[in-house]
Amino acid sequence: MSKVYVVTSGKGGVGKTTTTANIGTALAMEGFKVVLIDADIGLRNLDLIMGLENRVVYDLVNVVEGKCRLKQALIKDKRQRELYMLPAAQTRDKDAVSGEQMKKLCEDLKQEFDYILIDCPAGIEQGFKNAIAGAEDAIVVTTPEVSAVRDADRIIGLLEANGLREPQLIVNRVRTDMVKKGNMMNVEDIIELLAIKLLGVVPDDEDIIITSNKGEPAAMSDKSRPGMAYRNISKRMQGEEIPIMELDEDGFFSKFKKLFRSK
Amino acid sequence: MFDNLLGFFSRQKSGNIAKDRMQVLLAIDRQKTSVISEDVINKIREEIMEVISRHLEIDLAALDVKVERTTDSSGRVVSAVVANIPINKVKI
Repeated sequence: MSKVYVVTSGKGGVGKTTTTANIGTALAMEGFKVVLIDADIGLRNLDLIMGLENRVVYDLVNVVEGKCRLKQALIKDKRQRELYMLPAAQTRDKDAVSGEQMKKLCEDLKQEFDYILIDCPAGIEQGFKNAIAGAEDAIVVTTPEVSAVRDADRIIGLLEANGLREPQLIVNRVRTDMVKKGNMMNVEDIIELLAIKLLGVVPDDEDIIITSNKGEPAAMSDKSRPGMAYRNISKRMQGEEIPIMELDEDGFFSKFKKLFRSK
Repeated sequence: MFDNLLGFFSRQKSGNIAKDRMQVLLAIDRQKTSVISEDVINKIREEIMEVISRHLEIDLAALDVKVERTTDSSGRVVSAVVANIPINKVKI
């Protein structure tokens, strides 16, 4: 049974594309056939985060306009055998694709893939409406900032109005040091405010910048903390009960400190 | 150091300030952006008033009808009409 998820947030810059790339990679690492769709037409970026920018020939708009076959436009990932990506067009705008066309595309992809992840553009206009048109489930990404939480709430209302009534939340870029000092809303606060199910928590970590510099999603790296968080998310999407990861730094020094504290 | 002192005396941490502000703001946002229009809610309010007033004396000033968003036990987002109708006196 294949599943079509849209990854959305309302606010820009909270990590939709990084989330899409990493969850997709994590699911493919588990052996699922996965396709990522970059629905941010005009602002193509998923290819860059995946390290596939040099392989783009055709794009989403070419496919819906019948300029190429779907299979020609799908880019195979370098590392995961079962991972593919459909890039966004760069030189067109959001009106180049309709909701109906997105629905049809998702239906076609469901024949081939286990998971279809749609990277949604920021905003609540036509681009958003098109991106969610073919989706059956929604993942809402937010950060612990007031503006991101407000926009996430608006998005949850719009998803509900469009029949996507079981959105799940990823709280991205959580800084444990700030939460401890009381200077950042904690995950419980955000869950209480937005009143939706929690899918995962991703720590703010420089690994995300480093891995995107290289075009290698953090989910591939065993030692990466955000990578681990994304792998856990992919397991929860399959219905596994994985507890939310302790975000406390588990480095050598904190272990050392704990050792002393316990005495 | 000075920041810490200030923080200590002001007691309210910025994380809590954020949460308190968001609680108020999201309630207002949800009303404003609700798919159920203000007109429909006003009409419902009037009609509820009418029906209940036949049996009970209600506090009209405190009557509150609004649409709220919650989640049910399975995590489904649901909108609900919530009415708070304070009773002054039971008519016999």
